[in-house]
Amino acid sequence: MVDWLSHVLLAWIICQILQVKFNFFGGKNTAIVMVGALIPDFIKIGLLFQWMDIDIWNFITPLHTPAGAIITAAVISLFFEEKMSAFKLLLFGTATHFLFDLPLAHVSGGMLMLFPFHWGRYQVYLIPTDDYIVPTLAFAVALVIYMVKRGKCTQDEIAQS
Amino acid sequence: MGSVLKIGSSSRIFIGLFLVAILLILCVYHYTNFEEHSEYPSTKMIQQNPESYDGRIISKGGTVSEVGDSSFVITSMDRDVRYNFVIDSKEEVYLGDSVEVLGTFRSPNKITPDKMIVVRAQSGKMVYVRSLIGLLILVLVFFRSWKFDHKGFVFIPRRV
Repeated sequence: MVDWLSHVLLAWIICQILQVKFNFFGGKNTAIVMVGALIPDFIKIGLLFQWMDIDIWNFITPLHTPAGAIITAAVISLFFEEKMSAFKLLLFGTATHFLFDLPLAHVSGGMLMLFPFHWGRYQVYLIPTDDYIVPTLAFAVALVIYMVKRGKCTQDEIAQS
Repeated sequence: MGSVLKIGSSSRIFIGLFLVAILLILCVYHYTNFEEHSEYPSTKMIQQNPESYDGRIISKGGTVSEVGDSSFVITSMDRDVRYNFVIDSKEEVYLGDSVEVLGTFRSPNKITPDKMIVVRAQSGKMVYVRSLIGLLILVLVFFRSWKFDHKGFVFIPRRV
């Protein structure tokens, strides 16, 4: 798996870039996209069962498919006042998740991107699952964006006063 | 945010339950059908009749549970079945490492690997550590912008 630090930071970075052109991705909405970026990994609940010696991976696999993630996003969006907007943002976050999970290296198999209509598995075997370069790069880029934004805010405050 | 979709609380519960029901149906559908759509036989199928898979290419993942000079053992779990596969390889592995193998199966439990990925136990643990940090960042960022309204049972934006 790409770790959650990478998923969360990459979603945040994408929102910061898109925010320049589209206000929709900024402010409080960024947080919803970041939640969406972890939705397919609700499948990791299987780890809790694995520690209890119960194997439920083959039962909960649909959680890590676009169809399952869309339904999960719809359920979560019910907990927001502006449900449709929340749903769109969660879906966008979910899309970033699949995008960054796609290059993970395995010996075979992949993600069931078209389940339940098709059982084909899709994966581009590029990055090891325990890779630390992606989170390091994501952290560095996020830090630079954060510092630039903070510097800009401080400059604006000085100009106003 | 733009559009506001107004749904009553009873409708919200109904829609929520309906969506969860669909999700459960998908899970049951996958669980009851995945074996016939799998490219390679499952551990359970091999355990029930290892001879019939002799010479076939299989793909397995598991945790290293024993290390020898010219082979090592991985324990693979599949539903209620635990099965040990002997991997015919001199690759340097340690107890607790995670291994994915694609190779030729020899009855009763030997695999001659064509492709193999080893994730060190320590490295695997670091993925969880990084994930916990990611979760912590998410919680902080989310609750800085949103708070839970117990009356309406919804998240509402915090006033800045």
